[in-house]
Amino acid sequence: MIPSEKLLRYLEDLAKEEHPEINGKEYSQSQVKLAERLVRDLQKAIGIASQKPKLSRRRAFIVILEELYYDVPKYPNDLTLDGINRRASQRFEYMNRDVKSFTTPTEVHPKDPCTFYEENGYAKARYKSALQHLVLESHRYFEVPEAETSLKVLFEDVKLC
Amino acid sequence: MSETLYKVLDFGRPIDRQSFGEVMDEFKGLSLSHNTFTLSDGQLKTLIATVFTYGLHYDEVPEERRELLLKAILEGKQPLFDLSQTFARHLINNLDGHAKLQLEALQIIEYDLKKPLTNELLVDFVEIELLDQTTSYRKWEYGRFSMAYLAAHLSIQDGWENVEKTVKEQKPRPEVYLKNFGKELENSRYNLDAHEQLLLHLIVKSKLWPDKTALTDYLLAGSITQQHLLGLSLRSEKLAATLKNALQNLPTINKRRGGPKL
Repeated sequence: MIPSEKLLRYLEDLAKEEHPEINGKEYSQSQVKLAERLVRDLQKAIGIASQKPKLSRRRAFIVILEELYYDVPKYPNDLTLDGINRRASQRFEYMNRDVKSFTTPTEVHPKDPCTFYEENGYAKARYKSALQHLVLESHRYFEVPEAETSLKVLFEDVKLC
Repeated sequence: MSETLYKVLDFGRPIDRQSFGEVMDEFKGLSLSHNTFTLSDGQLKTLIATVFTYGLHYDEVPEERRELLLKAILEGKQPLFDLSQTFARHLINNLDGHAKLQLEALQIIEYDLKKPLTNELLVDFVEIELLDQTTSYRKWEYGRFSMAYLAAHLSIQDGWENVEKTVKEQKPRPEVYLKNFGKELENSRYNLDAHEQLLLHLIVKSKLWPDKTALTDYLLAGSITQQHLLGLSLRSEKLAATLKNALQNLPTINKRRGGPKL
């Protein structure tokens, strides 16, 4: 148990910082970022271990694929999703499930999405939605800045095609 | 680049409260040769809320116990799973245009209710449109919802009027009041964990001084609830008793009269 004095001191310190208030019907990403930083510091001080970020399997695969291959025009022929899964599960927490819905890197994150999804509007909409969250919240998921940027560029392309 | 803005969830729209068990009952007596069924709008939302709850909390237990956890969620064995299921239903009410189209597309597919996690398109939808948001920029909203839900669940209403009356009349400084409250929590015979102590503290603070409760408080509560919902559910009675005792035992005389007013 944490002594109440100590707990209170941490919470008071938290309140002394520039305090993100909520009012109205909208909030900004920078408000959330600031609050997250403050909470992280407090959790560290209290000794609550931080966990790896939760992220859907599909988006986790996209992050890893983009970070590894943002600068090449196509994936290596021998690239499998098993390897991507191994890396992704070290970085992110997601539900492991035995399914065969996508089997190749291209099906998860095609190098030329406009052509790949030309005939399948539904799959394209799902892909676009997967990208959108990663682009808006890229700061929490990416470790390679170049991949973060290249995904933003790709997302703009996908929105137009 | 312009600042990214998110809309605050609107909890004002009505939601269904059908349980997964009730959905299963509706399929009782149907041909056993079928394993998969199309679902009504309400049934589909119940399945989504169930998968969402598992997805948000599965990692609270080690891998070998996850099947049991899923079973407990499906069978409504623990009262607090309803917290996340209800939040999921509100999230569904707040989906934007493109996500609503995805949801509509899910209505024409058949589902295996006995193995909810094998319904790949649905699980993918839950992860992409609901879970990733809840574990990132909406985590504080989940926290705010959790605090309100838990306050009711832990029967904070019992004797609450007295607490509010005392606070209104005596105007204690929040930090003094909360410090005393914290001391009472320390005296609990149930030996609270750090996260339980914090959560009760945040709940009381947000009830008494909502204007002093900020995004950081909600975010902290959201993290705690997300990581410990099963544990909180199992210890509900102990937490409720601790809360009640602590509030009752708080000194009623404000010894710091004259301090700055709220």
